[in-house]
Amino acid sequence: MKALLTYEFRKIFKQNKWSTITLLGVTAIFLISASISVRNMDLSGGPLQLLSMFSFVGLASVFAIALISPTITAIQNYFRDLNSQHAVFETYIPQNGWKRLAAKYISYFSHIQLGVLLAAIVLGLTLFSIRGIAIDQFTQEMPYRMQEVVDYLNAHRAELIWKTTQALVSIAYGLLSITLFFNFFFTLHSVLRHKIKSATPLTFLAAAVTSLSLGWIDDLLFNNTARMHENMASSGPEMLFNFMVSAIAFYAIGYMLEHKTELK
Amino acid sequence: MIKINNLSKSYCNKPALINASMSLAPGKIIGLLGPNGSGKTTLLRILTGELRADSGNITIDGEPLSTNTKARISGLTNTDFMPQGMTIDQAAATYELFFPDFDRSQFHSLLADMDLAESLQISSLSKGMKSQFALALAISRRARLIVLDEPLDGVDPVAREEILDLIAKGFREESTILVTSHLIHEMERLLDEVYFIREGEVQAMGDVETIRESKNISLDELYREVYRK
Amino acid sequence: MYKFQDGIPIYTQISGELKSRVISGQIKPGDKLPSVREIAEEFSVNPNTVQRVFMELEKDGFTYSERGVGTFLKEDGNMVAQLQQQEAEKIRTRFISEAKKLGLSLDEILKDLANHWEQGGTQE
Repeated sequence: MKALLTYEFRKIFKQNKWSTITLLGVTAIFLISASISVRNMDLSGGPLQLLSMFSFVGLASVFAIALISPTITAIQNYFRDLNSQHAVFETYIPQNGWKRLAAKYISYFSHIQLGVLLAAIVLGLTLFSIRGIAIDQFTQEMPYRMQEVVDYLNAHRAELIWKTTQALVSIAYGLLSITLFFNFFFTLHSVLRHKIKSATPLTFLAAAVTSLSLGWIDDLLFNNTARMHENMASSGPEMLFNFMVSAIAFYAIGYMLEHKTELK
Repeated sequence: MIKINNLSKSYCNKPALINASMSLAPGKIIGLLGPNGSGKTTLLRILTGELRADSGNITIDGEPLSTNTKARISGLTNTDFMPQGMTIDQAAATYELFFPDFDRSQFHSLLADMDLAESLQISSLSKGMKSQFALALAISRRARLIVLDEPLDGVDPVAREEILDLIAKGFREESTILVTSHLIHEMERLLDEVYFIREGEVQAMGDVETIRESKNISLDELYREVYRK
Repeated sequence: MYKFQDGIPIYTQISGELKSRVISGQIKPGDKLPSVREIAEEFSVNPNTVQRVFMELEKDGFTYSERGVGTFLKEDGNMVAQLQQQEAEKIRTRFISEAKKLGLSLDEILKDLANHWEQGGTQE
């Protein structure tokens, strides 16, 4: 297992090293320009206002990228591991399907969690960089409000840390479930690819049907509107249902990898 | 002994391999010779685990093919099978990570013989050098079965000689080397036993020297003789 | 890379090559032969084939092997002469049958040979 983990982590590290460094660099630049422009701005507009808009848009983009791109990378990587000739080596590895899958998922989860963490930090730093400013009369109360918020935060520090961690982990877990969903169907495709002529459209169809069914079952069982953030940071039974479905999917993928998948 | 019994495989109902049977003994270099599209690659990819047979079975020293037996099989079905973006050195290290039977020192000496520096990026190598590197990797494992699919494919005549040399150097008493090729003439000198394959059907032809002795023809000619309609 | 002839067992051809090396003196009686692996690498053939060569040579009484050390050419003073004779016999048989096919008489051939002995033969 150690060998697999080394291999998967090295893979993901090598792949994302430079893009992560770039992202961090860009974030720093935007944060600096945001705080400068906001502090020195007066109402008359002009270049500084433009700069501050630009910075905030930039920070919002960084936030979105940090949040979403690890998931997309995970989905892409798994697809490549089943379809690229450079991944044929992985098929030769004498380790069972579940172990290989687990190593991949541990690396995916670490990457996704880091992304979520980064997104949260960017959000936090953005808010921090604009604290204590008075742009117009509407926000003149803001300094006082901010102080209230800061006092509240200080008082409930421990609970806050716990709740924040919980939220961050469950967001990461939710993103991982999305990856699992895609990976299940990629794996199914490589089981069917040499057996049925229309394997690709069939898999698409199966994926669509499954996602609708899951959504419908979820609504039925838990009377929710199918909104993602509710499903993720939500009640005990619903989380349990989600977890059970994921566990079954994970087992199924492992089984297919072990006994049924074929390469191109 | 590696036994392949009545192996069949179809791609979307088009048969690629039909009741193929082979017996592979250790300490032999065995050829599976036939034209492109005859099913050689399919058979080899089932051995390496890239494909699954529809029916039939394979046993390695009595044990059926499984994830565990992968440790005893060294495959080379395509030159670019290692991940991208690595140097030869890094690729060998990754390989070694999963295959304890990898003989790093043999790999070193094979590379030295070919004048290939280990610090080179694999992507910068020519097709011939890449083939040599991949072959050196696969053949430096003390595996029970070494499976080489068309190792001479797409390689210039000079590099081909070096590859034949490499295969000869990789010979071990405990291993079976199974090689496929459509370049029958060039492979002949390396082979102990030969099987012919055409349109998915495998035929055992036996010991190569005996064939030359009794029939006084080359394998090339024998193939044409056997399959002339 | 050594060019083998089609249709003749490879072990026979390697055996022949080794024998001609003995005749020419490249390998002397008492010398240790290269190992199976070395010969296999030199000719780019399967070591099993070379193994067969060695077995035949030993069976025919040209070599003996010492465990852990290697295979040696016998210290036989007659060996070179013997091999020369075998080789000469092969050439002679071939020559006579080819000549007879051409329909030449013994006298014609002897005269022809005598004329061309000096400069005749392929340039090596």
